[in-house]
Amino acid sequence: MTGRRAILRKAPIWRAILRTTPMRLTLRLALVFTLISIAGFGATWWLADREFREAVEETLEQRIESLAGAGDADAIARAVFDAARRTDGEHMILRYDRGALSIGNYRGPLPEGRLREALLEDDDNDVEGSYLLLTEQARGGLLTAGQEASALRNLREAFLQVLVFTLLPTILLAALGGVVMARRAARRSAAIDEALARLTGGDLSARVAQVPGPPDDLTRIGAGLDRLAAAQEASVSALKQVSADIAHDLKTPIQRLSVLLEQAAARAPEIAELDKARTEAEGIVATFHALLRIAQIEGGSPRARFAPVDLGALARTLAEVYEPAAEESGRRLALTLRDAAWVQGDRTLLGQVLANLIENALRHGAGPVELTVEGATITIADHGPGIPQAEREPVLRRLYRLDRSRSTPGNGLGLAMVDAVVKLHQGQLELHDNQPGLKVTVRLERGKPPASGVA
Amino acid sequence: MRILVIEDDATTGDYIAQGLQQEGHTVELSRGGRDGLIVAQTHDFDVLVVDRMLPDLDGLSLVRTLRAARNLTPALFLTALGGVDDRIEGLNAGGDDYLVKPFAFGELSARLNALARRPQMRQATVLSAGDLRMDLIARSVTRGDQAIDLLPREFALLECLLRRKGRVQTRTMLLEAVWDLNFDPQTNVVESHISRLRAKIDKPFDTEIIRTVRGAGYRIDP
Repeated sequence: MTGRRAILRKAPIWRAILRTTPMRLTLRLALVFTLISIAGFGATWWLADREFREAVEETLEQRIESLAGAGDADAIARAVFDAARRTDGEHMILRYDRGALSIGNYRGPLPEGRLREALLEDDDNDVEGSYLLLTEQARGGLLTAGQEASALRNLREAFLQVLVFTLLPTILLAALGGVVMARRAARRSAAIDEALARLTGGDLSARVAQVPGPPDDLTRIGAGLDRLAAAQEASVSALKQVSADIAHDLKTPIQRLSVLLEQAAARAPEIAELDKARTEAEGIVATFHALLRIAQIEGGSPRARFAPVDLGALARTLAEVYEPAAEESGRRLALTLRDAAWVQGDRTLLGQVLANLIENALRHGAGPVELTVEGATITIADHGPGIPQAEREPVLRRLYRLDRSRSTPGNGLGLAMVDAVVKLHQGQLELHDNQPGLKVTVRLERGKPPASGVA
Repeated sequence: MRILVIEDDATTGDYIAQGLQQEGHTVELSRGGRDGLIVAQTHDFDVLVVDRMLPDLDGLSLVRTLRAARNLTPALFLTALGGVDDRIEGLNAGGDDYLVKPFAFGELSARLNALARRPQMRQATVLSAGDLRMDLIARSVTRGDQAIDLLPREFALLECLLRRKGRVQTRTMLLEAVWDLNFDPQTNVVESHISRLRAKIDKPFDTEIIRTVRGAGYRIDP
């Protein structure tokens, strides 16, 4: 019953929070918001960057145009020389290259191209940093003008900063809000999980613990679950009351009946019918008893009482109990144990399961009865007529009997009881064809042996 | 034995009282829980038979009250409820045994005899009946001067009958004592075990040690 609870308790709280709906929504929203912000800022930056480049290019073109208009190559060289002397290399460079001649306030290497951005360095002329360069042909030479472009870099940095300073706090705030909501949701769903685990464990008094805070959809689900549990509890206790009433109101007269029959038989032992009547009364009692017991088991006999049961030892005991009876009826009961496991369960009820299955195999089957415990799986196989495919489901119903077995003893409750007990243990009951015969498999969950040293 | 029967149903109560008186016991019959509680506390009994469902004070509370007052008279619950939980609930409340209605009188009588306080022979290392001797330390059984080879469970079965010599052991009592199983088998499993045991300890000899008590169980006479 504690599988889910154990997981919940063991898992770190952040994992539980990450798994909540509010946290997932928050993270998704934050992601979308981030993507939109980055796209928006990116587009703005791209536009601003282009504007800036165009403006610089225009300035550079004008500058080159005015220098190129100075006249022939020598005039241009002179004009560039004069202009370069008046220009601070830190902001703008001018240069004229013609053959071996190179005039201007920057003498370092220039990358090829018309309009380009380049990192330049020339300590003599105070040139250092990123420049946007424009080069045009002019009278057999190359006329280059360049404007310092660190503004472009600054612009980029500014955009990044704006992005970081607006986006990060937004995401952090959103995540924080998400965590707060998610924690509440996680606590609520943990409360629901816990209540569910206890309810499936048979504790029908379990309710969802109320978590402080405004009501939300989880609160509504919790309240719904509580109503369901209350209704279930009421109907189970009504069922218990009814079975107790039936038990009392019917069993007392049956008790009286068998008392009277016993007394009558003692007084008149020659009347054979009295003995038969007593046997019939005993039959009624057995059926009645089994029905009440199945109802009780199905009504959620609390699993809190479960204790470790050694399946191998239990099978050995049952095999031993039934072995002489099997031999007397000319049959053989073979027990095989392979890595027999401990299971968490009710020894009496599991013993009853084994007894019912062995009795069924002895009564309705033929040939040797093979009882096998492998791990936490019990198999009982015989070589009799088996149960036709279509009947394998209905035989688990109460009081259902195969036509051919109406003449054999039994009340049609054996397999129903087995089914109820297996369900109580959250195991699986399977009926297979043993070719020929019936093979019943009971799969239980492997449990732990009791802690050593504890009596 | 002095036995107090607390049972509200007149037919059942009279029947139990009559049957027990015929067996030579002194029986007091109470029809209600409160009345029964007073009688149980003011008189000395060897064993109590308490119906679980009584109109005024239920049997569980009755025995719980007695136990709280340090009255340790062995008590057997009679009940119409036969669930596993009910049985455990009954034993937890301080009951010593539990019998589901309707029951055969033989079963009740055998269980009451087993419950009643008797001088214990726990220290005994040798049990015997007639010329049958069981040595609990050597784990050996002899009849006359003939050794008998028993399987462990056959030994346990015989030991159980010998320890309660003179008292009837029913099939369900034997299943409980020897195999620790708590249900009514629909097959004659106990009978088969007894007949195997008999084949070893009775058949080769003139006298029968294990007696069948019709409608009840088995007994070894002292």
